[in-house]
Formats: sequence, C-alpha cells, structure tokens
Amino acid sequence: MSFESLAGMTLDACQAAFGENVTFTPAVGSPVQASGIFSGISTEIDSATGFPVQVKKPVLGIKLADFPQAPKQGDRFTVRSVTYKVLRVDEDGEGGAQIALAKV
Amino acid sequence: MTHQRKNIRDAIVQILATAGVVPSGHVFSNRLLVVNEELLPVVNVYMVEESSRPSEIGDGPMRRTLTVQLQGVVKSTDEASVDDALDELAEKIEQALAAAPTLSDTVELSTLTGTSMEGDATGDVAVGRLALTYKADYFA
Repeated sequence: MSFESLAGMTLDACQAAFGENVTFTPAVGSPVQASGIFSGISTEIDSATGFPVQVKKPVLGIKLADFPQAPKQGDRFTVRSVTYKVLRVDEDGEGGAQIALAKV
Repeated sequence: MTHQRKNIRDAIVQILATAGVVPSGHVFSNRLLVVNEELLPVVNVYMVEESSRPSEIGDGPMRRTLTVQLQGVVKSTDEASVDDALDELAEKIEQALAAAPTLSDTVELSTLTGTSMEGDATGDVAVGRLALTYKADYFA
C-alpha cells in the first residue's frame, strides 16, 4: 500500500472519529456538505507596546479529496450554524489541509 | 495623598467615558490589561513616562511633562474597514480631549504629539490597534 493511500485512510479515520458536518460554499459553484474537524482555540494578539487581545482562531481540518474543489480565499464554510470565510489554506502535502477561518 | 498622575489618568478616563468614544464600561486605565475580542472596542489609558525639573521659584512645585498613551483597539469582520474604524475612533478621542485641554483642570495643557496604528488578522476577526500619545504639562 502506498504512503498516499495510508495517509488517506488515516484522514478518513480521523474524519470519522472527530469530524462533523460542515457546509462548503465556494465563491463559484454550489454549496456542498462535507466533513471537517473544527477547532476554535483562543490565542493572544500581542503588540510590542500594547496590551494583549484574546481572539478565537478557528481552524477546520479537511480531507481535500472530499471536496469538489480545493478551498481557497473567498470561499466560505458554515460550521455549527456560524458562517466563516477562508483566510488561509495550509495543505499538508498528504491530502489534508488546515483551513484558517474568520467570521463573516 | 493621591499623586497628580492618578488624577490626570482618572480625568482622561472620565472625559472619554462621558464623550462616549466607546460603549459604556469600555474605557480602562490598566497597563496590564488583557481583553477578549468580544469586549472590543476599548480604550486603555496609561502613563508612559514623565520628565520634571525644579521650580524656578524656590520651593515651588516641579514643572512636569507627562507622556500619556491612549490605546484604542477595534475589531471588524471586514479587514478593509479596520483603518476606517481606527480613524473614526481616533477622531472621537481627539475631539473629546481637544474640548478639554486642561483635562478637567488637572494639567496646564495637553497636546497630541503622535499617533501610530497597526492591524492583525490572525484571529476570527480583524483587530486594529491605535496608539495616541499625548504630552501633558503640570506642576506638582
């Protein structure tokens, strides 16, 4: 079995265990339902001279093959009834991607 | 006895709160402040430094020049509008303090000497930060 196949099986297992239903709405095209692993951890925006501001840093882990097209800036996701826009897409090179999201 | 710097700080907070530059309860005076984005917009007032020189009339009060920083932080779901929000907040703060140049009679004169701005879009909302620096002359 190729490494790619193993990575794909791992992604499938992770999505099955931790994934939840999300709606992917590309800038061009119709919305589709898919699975994603959502994380909404908080982080601090710090300034050299100012006080820190705590913000949420929502990230969605996906298997790219589950989507008709790779998500990109301008696309949107709806997760837990909240609509987000895609800030950044970090592909892992193994068929998965971490999507940095921001509220619309 | 309360140091005059506290009186000045309290006066600025009161002026900004009364002017409604940000929602009620969103003006702070805490250099160690940490805020959650849900509370934005906020303004935080704190002293940066102070220079002083002896009185020219014997044992009179020292002439002091205080550097005060007013940090305003705003948020927006539209990164392109952060600069507009910062400029709007800056205008409100500047107008409020220009209308009270003696800071409720706590200083001889206060003057805006500089402004800096920055933004950050790493979180789920875009955050803009504004720093207004004021010099305030007083005797104490």
